[in-house]
Amino acid sequence: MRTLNFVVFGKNEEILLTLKRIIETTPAWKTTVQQQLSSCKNYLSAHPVDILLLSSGLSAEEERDIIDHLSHLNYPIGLIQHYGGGSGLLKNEVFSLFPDLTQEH
Amino acid sequence: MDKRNFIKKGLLGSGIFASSATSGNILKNDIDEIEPLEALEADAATGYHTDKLENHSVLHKASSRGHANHGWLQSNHTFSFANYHNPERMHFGVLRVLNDDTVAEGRGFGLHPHDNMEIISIPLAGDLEHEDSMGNKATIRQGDIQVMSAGTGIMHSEYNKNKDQIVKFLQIWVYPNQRNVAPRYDQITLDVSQRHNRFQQILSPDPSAEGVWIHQDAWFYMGHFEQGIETSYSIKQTGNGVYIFVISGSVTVEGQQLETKDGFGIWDVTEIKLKATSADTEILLMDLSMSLN
Repeated sequence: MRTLNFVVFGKNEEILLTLKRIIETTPAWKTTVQQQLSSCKNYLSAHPVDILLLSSGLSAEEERDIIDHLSHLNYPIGLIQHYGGGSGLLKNEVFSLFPDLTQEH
Repeated sequence: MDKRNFIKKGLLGSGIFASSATSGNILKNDIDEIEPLEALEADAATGYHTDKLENHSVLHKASSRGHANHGWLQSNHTFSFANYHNPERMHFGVLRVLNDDTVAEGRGFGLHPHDNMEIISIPLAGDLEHEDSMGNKATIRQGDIQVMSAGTGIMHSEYNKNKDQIVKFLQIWVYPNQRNVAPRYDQITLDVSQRHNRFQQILSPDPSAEGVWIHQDAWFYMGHFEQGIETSYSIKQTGNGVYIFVISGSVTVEGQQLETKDGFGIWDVTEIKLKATSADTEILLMDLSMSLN
């Protein structure tokens, strides 16, 4: 499985830590958790990230703002609006974004 | 209506973004589309015109479901879930998960989170014990229906309450029509005699209507039919589709024969006809929005 760097952005700390743990059960997948809009934008601008995963508790304005920020980055990035809060849909959401990963899995 | 675009447009904002220097916006979106998986065959005996459903129905045979064997948990997934990934089985409209679970005696799911999903549990046998971070502790059993709007986040556990019998239940996830709603929990006990040879409403978007309610344009019904009983169902609102899951027995739906644990989705229709073809046929009918609002 190729290396993927995730940023998980949301407000609910328990869920963020759960998502980080679930993502990192795949050894090549690494996660940074962000809870504040400004720090998330700064992180994305400074570090190449493969996937931004929007977790829960964000306002509609925060979701719009961070999505708008993606188009100003100087690298391609995948966006997942995550639903479900745990392991149920996570891998399917990633595989839908990157179908080639299913061959590696 | 172009249902493919309707569904594709309606579901989520996931995709790949690139800088404006390259191509500017979303480059691709791999959200799955609903497509017929198995062609319907003409059935002279029923008199239905099978071309009525061409290109707007999908059949999921029980044997084609994904299966997970965790020892204590046997789960059959109608749609992609956890380690089962089938790009052709991602959802039916806003219906995202239909898991048919059997949990061993005294075992269950430890504390785990959910968010942004309407989660409905329907016990089929045994007792399922629920406890959550909102202080709810309850047991549900056959005839009950439980609903959680996970919204901004909820932690919960669910266990087989009994040490001497298994528990069987359906777990259903429906995309909410709004992200980050306040979490809520509810359960009710239904009078199952009201579903004898007819459909009983068990869920709707209306808090004042029969059954539980969720944040979505969805109506669920259960019916328990004797062999030979015919009935019809009218779609609740334009743009909705119907997904039928056979809990037990067998039924024909618009001429399509369905056996136990088969699933059948239909859209772009206003009414469907059903006929129970075996004794003790129990059906879950889900009338759902085909797009995410």
